Amino acid sequence: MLRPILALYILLAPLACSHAQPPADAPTPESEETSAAPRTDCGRACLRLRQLACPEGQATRSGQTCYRLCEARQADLRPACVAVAGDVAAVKQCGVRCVE
Amino acid sequence: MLQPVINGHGTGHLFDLPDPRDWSATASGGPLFGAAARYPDSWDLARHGVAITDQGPESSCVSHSLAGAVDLYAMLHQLRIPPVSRRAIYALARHRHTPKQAPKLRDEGCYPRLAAEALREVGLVAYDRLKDDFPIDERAPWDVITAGADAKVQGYYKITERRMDRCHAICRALSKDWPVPYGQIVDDTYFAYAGGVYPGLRGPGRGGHAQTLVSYRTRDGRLEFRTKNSWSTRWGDHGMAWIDQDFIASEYVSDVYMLTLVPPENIR
Repeated sequence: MLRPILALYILLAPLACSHAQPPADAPTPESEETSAAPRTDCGRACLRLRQLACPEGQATRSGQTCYRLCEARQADLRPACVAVAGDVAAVKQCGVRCVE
Repeated sequence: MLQPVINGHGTGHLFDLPDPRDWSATASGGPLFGAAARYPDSWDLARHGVAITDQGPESSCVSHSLAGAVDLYAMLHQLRIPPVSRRAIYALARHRHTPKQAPKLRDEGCYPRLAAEALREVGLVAYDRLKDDFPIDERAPWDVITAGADAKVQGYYKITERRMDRCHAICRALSKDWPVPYGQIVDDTYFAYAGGVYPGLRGPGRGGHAQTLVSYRTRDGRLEFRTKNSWSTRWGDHGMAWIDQDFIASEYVSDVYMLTLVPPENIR
C-alpha cells in the first residue's frame, strides 16, 4: 500500500524543488515596489502618492523609484504618515509638497 | 529648551554629546594628517570677501555656520558647488532628534554632529531649492530629500586637540584654506562686541553659538582668530570678530569641525 505512494513521492520530489527555484529574471524596482506595497510603510506611502497624483510617487529622472528612495531616506521621510493620508491636504502635513 | 535671543540675535548650538566614534582631523586618514606642523604667521580665508548672513532671532546658527563653511571652501577651492540651503541643513539636523510622530519641528537649535551626518547621508541642498523663507518649523520636503544631492559631505572630522594644541591644529586647517565651523559659549559682552579682540567670557554664559573661523594672525607672539558670525553686518566688525587664543583654547569652545566635500561632478 505504501510502496506506490513512496515511489510517486520520489518521482515528484525533483519537480517540486525545481518549482522552488527563484525566477530567472531579477525583480525590477517597480515589481519590488508593487510587491512591497501592502507590507511596508514605504510601499504603501508610494502607492498613496501615486493615487493622489503627487509627483513624489514617481521615479526620478535618474530612474530611482519612490520606494527605493523612501527606504534609503527613512530618517528624513515620514512614510507611515503618508500611507494613511486621506487626501492631498493630509499628505502635505506629512512633508510632501505634491506640486510639479 | 528655548535658546536665548539677545539684542535680536539668536543662538542655537546644542553641544555634541561625547562620542568616541568621532573621526579626528589629525589622525591617520583625517584631512590634517601629515600636514606640516609649521604654519604661516597669518592666514585669511576672507581675503576674497565672505557673505555675512543674518539668522535673526532664530536658533539656526549651526546651519549658517556649516553652510558658510561649505560655500567658502567651494569658492576658495573652485568647486562647482551652488550656494547651500541653510533651511535644509537646519531641518535635516532636527529630523534626527525629533520624534517621527511630531508634525512640526521646534526652532530650538540643533547638534552639529547630526547636521554633518545629514549632509553626508542626504547631501547638500542648493539654496535655490529651499530658501530662507521656507517655514522654520516644517520638515524638509519629500522632493528635496529624494531629488539627489547637489554636492555631498564626504566626511566630517573633529579637531579633538585641547588647549594650545587645538589652536595650532586650527591654524594648520585655515592655512590650507579650510574654514573651521565650531561652537562656543556666548556671554553678554560677546553679544555687545563692536570691535577689538574678544578676550573670553566676562559674565555668565547665555548658551551655545556656532560660527566659522576664517582667519588667524599673530600679534606679540599670541594667536588671534577671526570668526564669521551670522548676526548680520551690523554686529561686531562688519559681522566678524577677532578672538584671543586663550578663549579658543578654553573649554568654552568645542565641536570644532572640518568637512570634506564631494563636488557635484563626482556624484553619480
